[in-house]
Amino acid sequence: MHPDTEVDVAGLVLRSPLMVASGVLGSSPSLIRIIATNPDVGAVVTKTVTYRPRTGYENPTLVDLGYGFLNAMGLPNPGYSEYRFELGSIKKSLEIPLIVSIGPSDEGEAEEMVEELDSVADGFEVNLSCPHVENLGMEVGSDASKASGIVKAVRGSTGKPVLVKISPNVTDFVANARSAVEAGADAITAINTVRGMAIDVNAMRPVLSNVYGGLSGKAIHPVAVRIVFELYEKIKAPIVGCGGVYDWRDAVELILAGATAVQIGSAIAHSQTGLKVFNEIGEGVRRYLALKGFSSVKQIIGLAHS
Amino acid sequence: MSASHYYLEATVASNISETSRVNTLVLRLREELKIVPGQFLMVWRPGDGEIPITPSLTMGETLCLTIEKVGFTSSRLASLKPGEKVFLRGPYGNGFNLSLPGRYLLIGGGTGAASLTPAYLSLVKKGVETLFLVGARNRESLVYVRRLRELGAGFQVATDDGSEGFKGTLPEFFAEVSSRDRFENVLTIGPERMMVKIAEKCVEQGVSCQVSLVRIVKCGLGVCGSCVLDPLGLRVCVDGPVFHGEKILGSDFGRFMRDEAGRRVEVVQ
Repeated sequence: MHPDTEVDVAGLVLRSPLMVASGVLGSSPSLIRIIATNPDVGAVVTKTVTYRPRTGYENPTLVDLGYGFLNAMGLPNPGYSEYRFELGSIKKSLEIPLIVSIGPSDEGEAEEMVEELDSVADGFEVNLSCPHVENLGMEVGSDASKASGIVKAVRGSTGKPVLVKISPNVTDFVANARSAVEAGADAITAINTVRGMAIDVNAMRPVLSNVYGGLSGKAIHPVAVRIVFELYEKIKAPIVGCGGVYDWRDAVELILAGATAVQIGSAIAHSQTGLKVFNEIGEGVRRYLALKGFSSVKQIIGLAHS
Repeated sequence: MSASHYYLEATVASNISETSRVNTLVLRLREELKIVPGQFLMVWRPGDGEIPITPSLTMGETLCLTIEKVGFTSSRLASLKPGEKVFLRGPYGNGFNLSLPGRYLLIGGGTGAASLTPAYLSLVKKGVETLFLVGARNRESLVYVRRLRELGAGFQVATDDGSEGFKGTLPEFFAEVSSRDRFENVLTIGPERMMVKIAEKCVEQGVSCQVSLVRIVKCGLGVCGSCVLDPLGLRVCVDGPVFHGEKILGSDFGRFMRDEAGRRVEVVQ
């Protein structure tokens, strides 16, 4: 028996519920092209692009904690215009949806960026939750009216699916998700990284040049499960689960909590087998579905809710 | 999963001026660092930043880093005084394959002469026949030759202006050397356009060639994509920094790299 792994996220049909999360590997078109040939990858979310080019922060920008990564890259990117050109060079060769992650700082930027990127994107993920960049990401996301204005501007500039990635670093993430959906978001990606920091005991200094960073990886998985679980009960839009998926159990857990699809990031770097982690997780999910007698992964979305 | 994220502490024992732009830091560690020749370390000074460096010597608890003052972080590191500390993580990357059969020809341009020294010493220790060519624009720009002499290394020099040794570039010297002698393996570190010429010549002659690349390394763990070689999708920090020349000729090798913002820019050297 071969269970069906196709899912539909707000009109985006994915051959596998596993997506490449924003911020990992998605900075080079050749890497995206290579990742997209993996049959267990359903979609790729690019790194976040901003209106203007950003060099990001000085090193150190990433700390490997073993149980996760702490990063404050500072959203380095070549700016949306150059990135559109680079994505254009590979778009035709991709067989799976390309979701472009954008980090606009206001409505005007959002409109211009989306209008120009629309020709290379199958959907957008609005990053209103990067926890370590001033005037972008979470700073925008936690200003409710500004966030809502940006999502409306994105919505008004494209007919393609719009995902909004939310932050766990707020008291009321449900309110943020709701307001994103009211502003026109088709789906919610939960969660972005959790604020944290690391101090090196030998140097006796914060490791990240930005001092604070965002924690991803295994350590934040239970946080993601909890937030997806609660969002599933409180909002109607589909949810894309993201946070510490390292094996098939982690992926299934998020789907049972209510995620329609699941994003994978840190595990790619921590896995000994690199991109094969998608095949290991995909195979595990299929075996699980078969064992439990399900013919489609769609049948288990939100099943943990009684 | 990897172990502790904590950095190793190293103390500067001495700082040797190689040229006006290049210094060698002699560092003392608390314990020996196991590192394959060609692998690199991320070297951090809080407040000054962190950069990738391939050591120029590893001997017990002594580690040498030969640093060219290129940007802010490298200039700060190259100016450290005895007693000051740096912090290290790694080693990262693959390193050279020194188990391939046959004789070895090592070609180091500029600071590449220093970074190739651990590979040279390792080959000599194994009893492998090895010739080391080092080069620079002129005598004043030669790096690490004093240390190579102290180590008793057998090496030959080329300078563009002929102020020492062979008069000409390293690719020219290589052509001259290989016209009279055949080496089965070539290892090279230096300016990228120089390495391209050497790799092309090796392909022509059917000689195995390993080149070591430098890119802007941010995470060092293969996650961020800053050091990717397009269109191959190879990450210099985990798939490299050492590559077989024939596998990367025709790619961004010698032509393009990514800047701090991830923009594709021309390789300058």
